[in-house]
Amino acid sequence: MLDDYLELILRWSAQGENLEAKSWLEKNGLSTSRMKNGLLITGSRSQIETVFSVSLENRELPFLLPIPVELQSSVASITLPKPRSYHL
Amino acid sequence: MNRLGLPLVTISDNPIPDAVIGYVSVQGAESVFGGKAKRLQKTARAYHAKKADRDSVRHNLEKSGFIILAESALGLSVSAPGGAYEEITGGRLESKEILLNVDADYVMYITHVDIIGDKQPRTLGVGSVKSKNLKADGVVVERPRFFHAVFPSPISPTSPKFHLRVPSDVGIALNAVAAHQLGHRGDGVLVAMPDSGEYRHPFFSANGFQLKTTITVVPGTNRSKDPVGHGTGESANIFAVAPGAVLQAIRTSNSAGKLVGAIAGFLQAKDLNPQPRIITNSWGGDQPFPPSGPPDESELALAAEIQDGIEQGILVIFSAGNGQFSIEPQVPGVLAAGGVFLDSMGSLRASDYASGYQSPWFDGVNVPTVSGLVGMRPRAQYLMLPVQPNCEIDQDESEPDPPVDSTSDGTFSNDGWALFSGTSAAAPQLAGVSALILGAKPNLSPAQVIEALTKTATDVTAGSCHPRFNNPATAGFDIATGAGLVNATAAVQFALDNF
Repeated sequence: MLDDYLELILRWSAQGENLEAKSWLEKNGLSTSRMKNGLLITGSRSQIETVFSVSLENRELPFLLPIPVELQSSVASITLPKPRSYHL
Repeated sequence: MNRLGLPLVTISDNPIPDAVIGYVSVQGAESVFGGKAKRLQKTARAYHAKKADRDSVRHNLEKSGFIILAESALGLSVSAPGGAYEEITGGRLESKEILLNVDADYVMYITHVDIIGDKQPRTLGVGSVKSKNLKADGVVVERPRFFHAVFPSPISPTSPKFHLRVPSDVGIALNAVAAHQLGHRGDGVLVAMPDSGEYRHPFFSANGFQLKTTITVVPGTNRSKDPVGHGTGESANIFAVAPGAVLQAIRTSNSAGKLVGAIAGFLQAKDLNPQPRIITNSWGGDQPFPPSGPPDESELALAAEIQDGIEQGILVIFSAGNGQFSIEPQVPGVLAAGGVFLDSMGSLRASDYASGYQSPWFDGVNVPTVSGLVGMRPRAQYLMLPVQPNCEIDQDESEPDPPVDSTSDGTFSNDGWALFSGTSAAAPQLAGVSALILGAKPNLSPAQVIEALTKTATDVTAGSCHPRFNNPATAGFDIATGAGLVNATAAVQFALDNF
């Protein structure tokens, strides 16, 4: 079962970083952190399901999310990665 | 000034809260406010107010914007914006930071609200009443108070299971004590650790270890709690080796303790100011082994972040895994921490709890690079580590786990101590040894620190790593343990002699 708080990894298209796309994600209530080759998007599961118009129930991970129209020109992919765990 | 050399009271930058909780005393025959004698009357009945006066005060307070929370024969507990307090007192509300013993010997500045002004008493948080028509004789802003909780012992309990204690046994087993005696304690070396959280266990304060205030990644989580106990326990391994190091814990778990913000935590660790010299990570993913193809792009994105951290001069350590296969410890330049078991007779063998493999994704990379102390299957109950009382680990390890283990770790489920290890323990042990090296030679690169660790490690020639990989420890460098068990004093001396 997925958790309430999720991390997504966004990869920019060939044009590179796009501040408008970053701003669009933040306006929709998601947090972003710049990565070496993209953007880390974080937020609650419900926020992410709303913004990306997708249900994350029972998805096999890693899962490629549909890219919203507003981001399609600048984003190559947005991935929900495999979970991490403590090495207990 | 107090014993830390810090002022007891300072002006605060924190704003006055939207709702200030306080108490308004209604005039009775006697008053604790304004009188010369600072003592209680023989009976509280002397302070009782007439019902008509209480009703009048309540009515006037509500008109001024106060919410009445509770009422007694003496006064009213109230909540209101700061402006309402200023209206009835004629004073001004101001935030102040007061140095207090919060809990378990932790001394912190805690924000208080004071009422100040020409006609206001000097006592913190106490105000006089401006209007003669208001039958109230004093106002008190509630002070922060703390639960007088029972804290766990800073000294570990005994257990019938063979185990090593922190800081003593782990420091001795990794040969760190001689380095300490030579003055190498990792003083001031900043180690960042994204993990489940950091509970304020008295173990840390009693030993004088330095922890910065924990940073949280997941909104709404408590910086003082660790519902799993993993981060708290594993961080003790750093100080067992490097008692002078400074820990910046980054809580990446959600309120239930599940690891949900690991990548964000790693990015925050890289971005700290001042930048940490070491980021130690006791977590990772798991993939099929051998993998069916190259890592996917989300894995490579994290790998690039790790690589970027190393290129910035940060020593990045990842645990090899306890049977897991994941990309993090395989990234070239990472110090991958494996496991060696030191038994009660002093013999060393590869831990069969720890992962050991040659990377199928990166040429020439072996996981682990070198090893720390890790227990054996089935449960690796090996190191007595401090945890938040009654947390997940405290409970789980104190229970038998049939059919693989019919005994518990011998501790209570709520005593704040548990026996566990895994390569999660090895990573912070290597962080501790690395902190000793960087304390002695601050300008070394991550590659030079790794060279000092691997060139001086004690070779391990017995046992095999986790059966998923089933690689034996052999003479010289091997897949199971890498270069072997780290030797702290030898590694520091190597760095001093060769760089």
